[in-house]
Parts: sequence; structure tokens; C-alpha cells
Amino acid sequence: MSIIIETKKLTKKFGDFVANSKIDIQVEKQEIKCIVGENGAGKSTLMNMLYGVYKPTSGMILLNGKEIVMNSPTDAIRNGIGMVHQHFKLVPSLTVYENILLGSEITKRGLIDRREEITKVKKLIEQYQFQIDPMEKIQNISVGLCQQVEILKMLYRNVDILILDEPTAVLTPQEVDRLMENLKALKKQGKTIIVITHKLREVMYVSDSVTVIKSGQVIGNVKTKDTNETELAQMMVGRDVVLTVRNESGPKPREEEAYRVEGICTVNDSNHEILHNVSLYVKKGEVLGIAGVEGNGQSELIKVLTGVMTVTKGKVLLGGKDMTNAWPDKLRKFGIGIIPEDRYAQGLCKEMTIPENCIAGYFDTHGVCNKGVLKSGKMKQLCDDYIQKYDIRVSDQYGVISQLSGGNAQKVIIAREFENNPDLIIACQPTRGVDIGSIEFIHRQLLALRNAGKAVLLISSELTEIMSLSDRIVVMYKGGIIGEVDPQAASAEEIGLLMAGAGAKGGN
Amino acid sequence: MGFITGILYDSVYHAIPILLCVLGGIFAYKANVLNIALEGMMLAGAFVSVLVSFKTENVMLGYIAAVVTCLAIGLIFAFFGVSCKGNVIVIGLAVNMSIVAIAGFVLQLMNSANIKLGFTNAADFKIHIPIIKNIPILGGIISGHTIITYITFVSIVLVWILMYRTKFGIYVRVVGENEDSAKSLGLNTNKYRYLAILLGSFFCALAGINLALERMTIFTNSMTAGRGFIAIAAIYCGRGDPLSCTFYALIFGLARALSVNLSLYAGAAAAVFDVIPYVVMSIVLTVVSVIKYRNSRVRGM
Repeated sequence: MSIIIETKKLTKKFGDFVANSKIDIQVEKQEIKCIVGENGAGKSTLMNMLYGVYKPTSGMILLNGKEIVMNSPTDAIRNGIGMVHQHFKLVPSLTVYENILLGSEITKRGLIDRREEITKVKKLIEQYQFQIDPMEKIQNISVGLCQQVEILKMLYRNVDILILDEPTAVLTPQEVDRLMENLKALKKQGKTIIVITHKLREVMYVSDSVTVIKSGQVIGNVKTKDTNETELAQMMVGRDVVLTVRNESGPKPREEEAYRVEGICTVNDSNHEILHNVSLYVKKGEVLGIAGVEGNGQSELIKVLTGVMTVTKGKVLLGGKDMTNAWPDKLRKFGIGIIPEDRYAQGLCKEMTIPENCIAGYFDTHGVCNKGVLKSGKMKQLCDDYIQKYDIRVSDQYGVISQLSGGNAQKVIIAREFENNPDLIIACQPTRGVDIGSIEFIHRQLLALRNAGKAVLLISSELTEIMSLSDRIVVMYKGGIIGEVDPQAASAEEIGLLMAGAGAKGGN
Repeated sequence: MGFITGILYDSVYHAIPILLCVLGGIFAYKANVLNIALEGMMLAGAFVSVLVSFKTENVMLGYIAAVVTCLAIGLIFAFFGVSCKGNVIVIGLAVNMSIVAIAGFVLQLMNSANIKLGFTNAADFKIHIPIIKNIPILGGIISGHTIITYITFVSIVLVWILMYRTKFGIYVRVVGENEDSAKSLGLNTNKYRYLAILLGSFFCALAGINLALERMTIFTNSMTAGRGFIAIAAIYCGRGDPLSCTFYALIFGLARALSVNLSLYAGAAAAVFDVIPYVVMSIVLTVVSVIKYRNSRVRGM
């Protein structure tokens, strides 16, 4: 096998900060290479240099043995290097085929030749065996399909090397499987694929070789078949990590019910019912997991339970008190802590400082507010406490929150919600886009809360997370609850079947 | 019968300046630049067209001067708003206020409250289309408008094609909707913003010419009377789609026609009917918004 792309002593500095230091990597033709490392290790910087977004401070990039210099992504594409970003760069109001051809439209006498465009895209989809309708608008398709569009966009431009940045961060388990199959098929057709990720299970499943990066340096190059998840995790974090924190040793849930949802329904903007009679309960000292393929009503259920959406029918009770259609401030006051689905959209205010975010939603506690006037000393003290207790890594502790990595930003939310003594925590996708070290920490925190007799409602599209933490699991399908399973007794396959809507068997 | 035909003819008549502003404004809207300078640009078009025609006694020069002036204002707006990344609301306000001030200043110098052309009158600008003008009712509504009126109706179709069937249109929309995407494709996003704004200036110039020179051969200061803002309302109601925005512009035209025609019969109370366009606008905005969020159960929308 020949080497298609190679870097020699590639270094990138931002001011005094060295993001990448003398990186040497070699990627063979037609292999799937995974680059792993924790958040902030410098993976994205490296890829952005390979894609022409950043210019290296020193060192060089060799393509097929010859040095190349790239000034923009356009140069990279011309050299046959394409990239699919973690945050898609698609235009929602345009169709699939328009997005694929964006920037290289086919025109006839100045007007766009739609028929020719559609035929070409259809051919492309067929060639690579993707399953997607070219006429559908981006705003109407799932995240998984959007990613396919991004990949097709690159394939249309005839790239040989495809770089994917955290491709599975936003995908459902089923979509992840599809992507893996797609990647393997692309490899068979002669493409070379570089995947940046920190999900080790996927690395083991799909890759041929792995490069581990830590603090901007390569600390290991291994063939996938010669390694395992635990070894990779140790290399990444630099210490032993527990990959799955299990809910095993704690006390049994109490019999007392902490939270009850009775037959709630709600409708979307076009008046279609999207939640049908959802009922559930959580006992004190219990974790109830809600599993399901994304888009089956979880988002709406979260919105209703966290007070940003109202119900058309049904009741919500917290320890017997009616909480139906209560606003978020009331929910918090009565002891419901909320870890929202999208931490930047709903959980934090990006432009504000860490101390300000530490008290958001809780102005009446910890004495941070006196007769409507905020006490900045108290706020800073609280912030310091949280940073220490929750091991939040910051460079400027009173600076804006946007300096924090995903995992640390999530820890700020968790500190804020946990430290206000909630009776119930609604945790939505608590570890999405969070590095391995922080995942372990967050899982331990959730279990500690459970063992202290609080109720936890966990909504996640990561099935392994749900299975290892929950005492009971309910599965959502098409806006309703299709079944309940015992995580000790049920297998992932059984839950997977329920998630796909295959009958409510195995429940109790 | 004459009354209804009159109102419909007037609806077209009054809708044209708004419609032109709408056609000009939708590209900026799609490129995510809120161009509140439509009003000022239209006033500049009106002012310059009449002033130059008055001084040179040549209407054609008036047309050209108005377009050139508005494009220059558009360039200034784009330079501050796009290149310097200034706040477009503040810049737009500055444009709107400066134009009124400059026009007022010139009128002051000329020692007159308005500029009136002596060598020509509004009737000279009306085109009576052969055959069509003899069709009952329809002829009375369609025929007898000015050249820019007919250009406007052709422009609706052209703008639609430009927006949805050309690279330019797609790129303008991409720039507005997802700038990252546009940049990752190597598009010069500022270029498309500039072009979108300049296209708006061009149409505003036509709107101004139509309003002052063609329809009345007279300029009085602040004669645009908020039409630019009504156009912005129409653009928002139609969410930048050329056809739906046209529909809203026509509704506002109809409202003004009603107000003008009704005041003719109202005698002393005539002024009351002046509020019709603004009342209609408030109602339309409310209804559009209520329909949009009728079923929403999400709070804070």
C-alpha cells in the first residue's frame, strides 16, 4: 500500500499557544484512518491545516510524495481533499440537489439547468448507494441525511481523501450504523477516509489504523487490530478511565414517587398531535431512562417537561404538586433541575461570563442577589466553588463562558443545577459532544444524585448511556411510549427493536 | 362602475412605488441585510429626477440622474454596512434623514416649497395601450399608466427568475441563510451583499421617479410618506418571495386607493380616510403573524 498523504513536522501556533507541535502522520491509500484525542487536543487544528483553512506555522504536507501548499478549502478540493465538518454547512431552504451542486451549478444560457442537475445528482446517489431523495429540502430531512448530503457534496467534486470531523456526534445509533457502512463502501470504491472522533467503539469497528493525539502531539500510531478500547482511552487521557460507569452498587430506589406525568398530549405548529398520552413516573432514588430514535417526540417531551412548551391535555405532578404548564422559573423554584438538550441554545448564555452563567435561573439562592441587586463578590465565590468541586477546566475563571470546551461548559450547567438541591433532575443528552474524561465524571455525578435519594429523568439517544445508568427504561416511538424494559434483563437488541417500533413485548 | 374601476386603476397606481421598493428590497432581505434606507433612496430618486428635469428641461436626464444618484447612495450604504460592518439600522436611518435634510436645504435655496415642472405634465407620461384601452373595465384599469408601471409588472417575473433560476439568486440566498456555507464554497459573500443592495437602490430610484416625476411632475419634501417602510412590511409578510410580496404590496396599494377615493366623497371628514393604509397595514401584519403562530405551543415565540 502506498502513502497518499503525509505530514512532516507540521506545527501550528496561535500567538504563543502551540496547537499542533511537529505532527507526523501517514495515511495509506484506501484506508480508514481514525485520529483520536480529547477535546482540545488539537485534532481539529490538524484537519483544518489539511483542508487549507489554517496555514501551518512550519512543517509540510505531502500529497503522493509531493509537497503541496494550500491557501483555502478550494485549493484542498482541487487537490482531491474534501472535508465534512461537524457543523454542517448546508442551506436549509434549498433542496438536496441544490446543496450538492452549490458553487458548481450547471447553467444553460445563464439559467440553471435543473433537469441536468437532478439527473447528475441521481446518478451520484446511485453510484455510491446512498438512500436520499434529491428533491427534498434540507430543512425537512434528518441530521443523518444531512450528513449524507455533505459527503455527496464532496464526492461530486471528485475528492480522493475524505476528512470527517466528529461525524457521529449528532447521529442516532441507526444513523451511525449507516454511516459506518457507507464509509466502508467508499473505501471499497478507492477513497481514503480520515475520521476525527473520540468514540472508541466506532474506531474499533470501522478503522484500519489509529493515531492518538494529546496536547497537540502525536503520542501513538497503532493498527486497529493490534489494540483495544481501554488501551486507546489510556493513551488519550493519560490515565486509566472507566469507559462505562454502571448503576449497580447503590441502594434500591425508594417506593415513594417523586414525579408523575399523566397522559400528556401536545401539537406542533401545524396542529398535528406530536405527543400522544405520554405517562411515566420516577421514584425517589431512581434513574428513569427514556430511549428512542431521535425525532420520535423526545424533543417535544423535553420542551413540555421543562416548561418551554404547553400541553393540550394531561397533567404533570412533582411530589403531588401540580406542575402542568408551569414556567421554567417555577419548575426550578419547586425543585426541578434542568440539563437542556442544547447547552448553548437553552442552557448557557454564550456572551456572558462564567459567574453570570453559574447563577442563571437561580437568583434567589446562595445569597447572590440582594433586593434585586447582584452581588458580584458572592457570584465569584460561588463560581470558584463550582470550578473546584466540579473540576471545570478554565483559563480565565471570570471570563466569558464561550472559552470553555463542550465538556466543561456542560459541567457548569451541571454544577448550577445540582447545587440548588433539586428533587428531580431532567437530564437531556447530558454527554453529547463531551470528551471521555468528562463523560465519566458526569455519569458519576448523576448516579451520586440518585444514590442520595433524588429522582433522575434521563433522556438520551446514546443507548449505552441509558442502559448503564437507568433503573428502568421506557422507549419512545412516534410520540408515544411504546414499552418499558428492565435494563438488567433486556439486551440492546430488544430495546433496539422497540425503538424501531416493533411491538411492546418484553415489557412489564 | 366608474367608482370601482377608478379604485382598481388607483390601486395599481398607488401600488407601483411600494411594489418597486419591494422588488428592490427582497434581495437585501434574502441576503440578510435589513435595508431600511429604501425610504431615503426612493426620496432621493424622486428629488433628483424632478430637480434635474427641471434644470435641464430634459426628462430622460432626470431618469438617468436619479438612477445614478440612488446607486451612489446604495454604494455608500453597502460600504458602511457591509465592508465596515456597521449597524445597518443606524446607517439606514442616517441615509433616510440626510436625504430629507439635503432636499429641504436645496428647496430652501430655491426659495420654494416644491419643484414643479413647467414644460411637461403628468398626462404626457401616460401610455394608452392600443386595443386594450378599448376593452371595457379592464382597459380602464390596465391602460393609461406610465412606462415604469409596465416595467414593474415585467420586473416581477424577471425578479422571480433571477431569484430562483440563476446562480446569482441562489448565492444571494445562501449568503443570507448560511454564511459559513457560502464561505466554505469560496463565494465572495460581500460581493453578493453589495449587489443585492445595489439592485435595491436601482428599483428605489425607479420608485422615486414614478412617484414624483411620472405621476405628478412635482417634488415636495418627504413625499414618500413612509412607503419605503410599508414596502419593508410587505417584504416581511411575504418572507422575501417575489410573488407573495407583490400580493401584499398590491393590498397596500388598494388600501391607499380606497383612502384617496373615499376622501373625495367625504368632504370635511376626508382626512379621516388617510388612516386607511396604515390601519390596513396593522391589520395585515397582525393577521399574518397570528396565522403563522396559531398552533404554536412553544413559549416565547
